Amino acid sequence: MEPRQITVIQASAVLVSTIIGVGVLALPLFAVRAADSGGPLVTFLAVLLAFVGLALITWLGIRFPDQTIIRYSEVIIGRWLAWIGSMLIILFFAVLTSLTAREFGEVVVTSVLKSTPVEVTVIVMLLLAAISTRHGITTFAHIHTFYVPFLLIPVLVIVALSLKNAEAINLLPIWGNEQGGMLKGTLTVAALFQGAFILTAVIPAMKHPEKAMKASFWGMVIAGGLYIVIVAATISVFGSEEIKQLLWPTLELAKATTLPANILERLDAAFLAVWVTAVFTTLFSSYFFTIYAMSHLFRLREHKLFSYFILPFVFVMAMLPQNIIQMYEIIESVGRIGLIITTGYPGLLLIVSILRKKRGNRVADKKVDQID
Amino acid sequence: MLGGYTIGYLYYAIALFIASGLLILNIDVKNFQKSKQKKEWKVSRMIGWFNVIAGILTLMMNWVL
Repeated sequence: MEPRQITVIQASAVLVSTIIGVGVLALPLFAVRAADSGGPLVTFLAVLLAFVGLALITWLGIRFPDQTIIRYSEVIIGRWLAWIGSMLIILFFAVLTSLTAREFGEVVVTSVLKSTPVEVTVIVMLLLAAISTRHGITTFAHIHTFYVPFLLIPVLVIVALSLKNAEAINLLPIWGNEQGGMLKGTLTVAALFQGAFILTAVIPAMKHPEKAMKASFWGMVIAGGLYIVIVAATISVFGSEEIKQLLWPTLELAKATTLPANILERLDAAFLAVWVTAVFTTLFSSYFFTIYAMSHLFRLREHKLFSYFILPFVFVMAMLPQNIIQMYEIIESVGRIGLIITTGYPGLLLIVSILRKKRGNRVADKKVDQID
Repeated sequence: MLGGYTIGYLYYAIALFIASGLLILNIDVKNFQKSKQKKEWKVSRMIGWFNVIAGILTLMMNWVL
């Protein structure tokens, strides 16, 4: 058992690097499909919706500072109902892991390693995640904290440099031309923030769980802010109609961006290097959460025994989509269904816990996962 | 499929099932036995063998069918 060591900054870092991930490449396309030039507005609404979900999880975590959602759901709604909810959460995160790995694989074999089988790229990434998840939650937080600057700084630099090709008129009207698809688009973009659910595992390991809301707020401000900036920059450079013809507009933005004095005439290689790190941290979180939740569900003291166990299952799930088109259809559907699990279910738990006046114990000097 | 050469994922899956099972049996089962974590030892032995057998059965079914 580890002592409670995770600080507010580390918890925010976990959120930021988990949220910023594979979805960054297709994000402007999702936003533009929903509302044309209103893409940044759709992304902003999605950030607000995602923050509501994150706030519910955080509030629950503060009420039960010594337990993960797997354990306190049993206290709130009873063992068997909670078991169904927990199984759905585990299954959802396993699917999320597989889709992240597949999306990574498709991008790599399409734009970088054109002669490499997609299966190999997927296996390499999953193996990397499986090995990394064998350590405790404190190491998990350290790894995320280490990578955050490597994610944020290059992306912000690329976005800032791309603005010299920007036309502000491409962002008008800011509410878009047709508002019909806004709700669906908001849900699709909000689904990209579902990795934030990892906070349910992080709060019980925080030094001061009562400060978790601060971590949630800053995590969402940084990750959400970056997403809005990326969408706004991409639309202002290409315009909404052009983006609809691109599969990965953010990658095209990096291709169209040059360093001053033409030192580098395209930045896609640099961007992809950063993006691989972003995918790793996202995959790492969803993989870790899947096995961590499994160990809590089966009341085991170690989660590492599941790290290699789920590897082949996740791989097979990753290979099920027939092509990129079908993969993105599945990602959008799974994402929207996932909102019920990651926002609706914690909301229900919170209401029932308030009505039944259920609360966790004070943490004092308890260690992580200490069972009374 | 856009880009990349592929031979289908079945053989990769079989290799992963067997390799992951063997890794669990060789690393986790031994470690839990050493640290006397009975429940974890039992579960890791069970899931390790499960993956190995699942891999072998899939391979045999692929040959037969």
